[in-house]
Amino acid sequence: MSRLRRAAAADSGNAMLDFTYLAILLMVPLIYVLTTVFQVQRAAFGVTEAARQAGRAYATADSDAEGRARAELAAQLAMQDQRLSLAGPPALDPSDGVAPGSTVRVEVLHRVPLPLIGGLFGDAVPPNIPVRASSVAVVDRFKQ
Amino acid sequence: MRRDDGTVLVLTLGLAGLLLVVVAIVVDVSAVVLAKRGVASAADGAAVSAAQALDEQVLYDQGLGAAVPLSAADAAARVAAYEADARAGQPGLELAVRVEGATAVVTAVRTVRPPFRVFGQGDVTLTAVARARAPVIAP
Repeated sequence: MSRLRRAAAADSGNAMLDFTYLAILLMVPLIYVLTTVFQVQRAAFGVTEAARQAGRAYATADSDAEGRARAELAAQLAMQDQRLSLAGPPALDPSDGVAPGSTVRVEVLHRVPLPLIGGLFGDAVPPNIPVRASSVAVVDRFKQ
Repeated sequence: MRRDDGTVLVLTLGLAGLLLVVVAIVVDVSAVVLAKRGVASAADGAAVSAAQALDEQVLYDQGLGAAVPLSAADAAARVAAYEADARAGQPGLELAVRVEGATAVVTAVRTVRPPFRVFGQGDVTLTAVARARAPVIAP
């Protein structure tokens, strides 16, 4: 066997090793980042729609209590489109209840849990990413 | 014989780099799409608010027979108030209203900067137009 051939034979399998190391070093974090980004994106789409729909639902209700119930239902429905659910009702800040001509400000907050490592690092790394959205709705001025 | 040591290294690094660029593009595009939805939502809300700006003087003078127009000054004041509220969630949002008889036409403009600006992508200006009317109907 010539020297050249022997040298070539010694290289066999190195590509596999290279790839395995790189896969662990690069691909695993990369896929983790990808997963997290898409989870956050999904939540961001959910909360923007939830905030908007909750505002409209509250502004068209007949009483504050009814409005709050409707707003929560609307927000949950909007989140369900993204296969998510809100932990609590949306934060409503009405200027004067559902009185004609008043405005209501809605803020929706959803915490996206970090994939796989929820709570692994205790309090050092918060196990979630907060995603929030807000909207403003106006109550009809001439309603009864 | 051709040397090919290190080829896999280069290929894998290249693939990882390409994926990172794709991720950055996806994040940028979704940030702009989300901002666009926010601008459209603000235009809708402001148009609904402006449609309440009934010209009461005309209403009292002519009654409910014909369409009651909106008051341009009142509509502008309502949209300005809505803009102030909406800016808490959307900094830099600009709202303008035009009154066409009984219809309020609101134009919302906001310039956003994508987070990564891949390939030197500059700021993106988003525009949304919404119309609303609130007809007065005799009971």
